[in-house]
Amino acid sequence: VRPSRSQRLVLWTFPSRFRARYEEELLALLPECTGGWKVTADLALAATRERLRPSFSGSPAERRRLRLQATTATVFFLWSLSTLAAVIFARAVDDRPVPGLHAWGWVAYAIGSGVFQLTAGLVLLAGLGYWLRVVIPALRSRKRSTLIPAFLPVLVGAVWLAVTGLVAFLGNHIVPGNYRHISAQAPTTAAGMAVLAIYVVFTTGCVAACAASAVRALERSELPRQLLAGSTLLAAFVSFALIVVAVATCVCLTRVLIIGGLDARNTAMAVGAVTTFLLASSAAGTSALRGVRALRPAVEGD
Amino acid sequence: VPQRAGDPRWTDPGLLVMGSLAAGDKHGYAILQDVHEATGVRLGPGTLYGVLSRLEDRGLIEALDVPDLRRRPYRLTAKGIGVLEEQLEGMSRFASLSRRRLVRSARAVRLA
Repeated sequence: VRPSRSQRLVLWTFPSRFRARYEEELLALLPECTGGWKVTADLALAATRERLRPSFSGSPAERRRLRLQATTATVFFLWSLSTLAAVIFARAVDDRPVPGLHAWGWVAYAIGSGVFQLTAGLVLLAGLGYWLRVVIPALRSRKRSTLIPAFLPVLVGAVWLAVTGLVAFLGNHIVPGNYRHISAQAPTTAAGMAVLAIYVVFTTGCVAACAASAVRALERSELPRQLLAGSTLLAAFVSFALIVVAVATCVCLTRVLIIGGLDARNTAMAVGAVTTFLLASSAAGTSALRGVRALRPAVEGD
Repeated sequence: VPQRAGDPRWTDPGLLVMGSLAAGDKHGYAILQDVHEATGVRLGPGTLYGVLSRLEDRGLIEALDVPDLRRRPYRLTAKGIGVLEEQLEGMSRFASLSRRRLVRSARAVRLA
């Protein structure tokens, strides 16, 4: 008897190190556990805990390396999810600018937007460097276990672009002239809403899959501590930036709610985005603090 | 008295697992069964292996080498036995003290 597909999918989200050590035992144990979705939910919670507060084994030097790797992976994953929140917040507040959103509300929006775009530039630039550092040795050694997750985001990105193009084409086909305004107009029919909902879920899945694959490639490449020290410092900066963005969007949302310039749907989107920022920034901040602590000079025997 | 969500509990999963291993070496499923029979607490597999991972990393338990790695048993280390004894001693002292206080306050309530 094998574990269910959802349980195997959740098992995949545990860190590589945890899977290498315990996956065999969990695969044998899961079919014996009764409880259905509760077992899957317990696994998902455990996977989240392992990501946010991982336990490390090995020598002190290896533990410190794993700590830096975990911080890099956690902050990158949370930042990736935050990009969705950034798009949703901008869509809710700015695509059709809220009437009366000026002064400190607008300043907060501009600060949040600017800081997020700065982090996006830095993460993409540094991410490309780290991606090459992961991919080139893996290509030389033909290490498929690293190459597959490293190249998966490229494939997922291509599929996402194709689907996005199709949705835009269909939107324009159904409502002629809609193409130019597709980001500013929300569908009004039930079918249009369903397509939009599916597209949002699909996009979220694509972002999560890309981020998870990149993290998996990073874990499997076992980069040296010196390289991970650089990515940890960047992760600390990104975490700080996420906190700034969370505060800025909170201020902006407060202003928007005070003036009442949003309809119910856009309000829900903005609140959801700000909640995501708050959760992601607090988790990223905690992980970054632990990573920065592991950067301190080694104690004797390390 | 039935437990409700939010009620204070003594069922820390790490302590439950160590308490179960105090009776002898066990693999994952045997630990889950034993904890459930002894305390009524049903640990999930994810919770169990999260706990096993932490206890193993802290050197409180160790996995035994067996041919079938899918049913690998665990046992308490000397350090783990020490930590468990210390925790149980503390719990026992606290339980006795709390019970004495409870009896005293129940008496006071009856007198009032």
